[in-house]
Amino acid sequence: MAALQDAKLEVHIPEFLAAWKELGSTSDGRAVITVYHAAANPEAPLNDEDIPEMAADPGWEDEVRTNFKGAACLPVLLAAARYYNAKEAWNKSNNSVKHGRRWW
Amino acid sequence: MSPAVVVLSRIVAPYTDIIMTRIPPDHGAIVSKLRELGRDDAVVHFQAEWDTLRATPDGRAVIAMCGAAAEGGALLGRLTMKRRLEEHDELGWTSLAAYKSKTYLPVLLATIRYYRAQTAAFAAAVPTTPPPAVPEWPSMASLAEVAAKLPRPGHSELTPPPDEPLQGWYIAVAPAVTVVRRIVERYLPTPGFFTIH
Repeated sequence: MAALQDAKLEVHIPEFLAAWKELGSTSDGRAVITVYHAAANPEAPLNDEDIPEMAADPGWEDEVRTNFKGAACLPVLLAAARYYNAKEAWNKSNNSVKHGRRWW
Repeated sequence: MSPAVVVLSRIVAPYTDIIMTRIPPDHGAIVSKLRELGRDDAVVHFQAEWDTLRATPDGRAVIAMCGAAAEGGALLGRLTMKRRLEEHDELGWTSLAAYKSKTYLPVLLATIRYYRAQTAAFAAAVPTTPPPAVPEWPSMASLAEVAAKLPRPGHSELTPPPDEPLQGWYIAVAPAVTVVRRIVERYLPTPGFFTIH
């Protein structure tokens, strides 16, 4: 919200809050928020071009399950990935990019 | 000037959404905005609080600083200003040394005093909510601990310097960060480094 204010885009704050509320309305969505808050310290690099590529890597789950085996954070990471994958699948099944209906 | 603007922001916040609107820290501007929104009832309440502010030396210092801030283009309810102010306050205003020869230092100190008193009063008035008995998700403390122990690949663009998160950390958080990035991208063309507060 501070970034929207700084960019003089306060008009979008209600929409952003609605999107954030929707994200927090499911357990997996709340996992996304939990991981993001952990990643935000230090600040998460939203503009890092490699991040979406890493998220889309088909080997992501195997790698993370191996790296974080037994770690308390593993279920949260997997839940966040489940949310991401569900949205990706929705995008593909709805051909939403073509019709301008991407969920994001 | 930020302590004064935050003090006034807190006074105005109950009457209109100062985060989503752009209101200078100025009495006339605030009253105009409230009237524009059809909140004549709020004007009465705001005026009473303004009169209370004006009744003490520290409160008058806040008003003086708000006037200067308004001339400089400041706005009520700016979250970046509030966050920076909280950081300064935690550090004990070490930066004030730079102002020690300035004639307005006493005014600045008075606004800080008022801000701190108001902050304490607000904190005392807000009921503390106990955390949920069982958190929905476990602690993320292990994220950094495990990532720090992962083997480092050879140096590449994806291998950050030793004091920064490792590639394994980036990979682990990538889906969550991508989800948030896509949301933020709808509203900010260049989200950049962005922290959710």
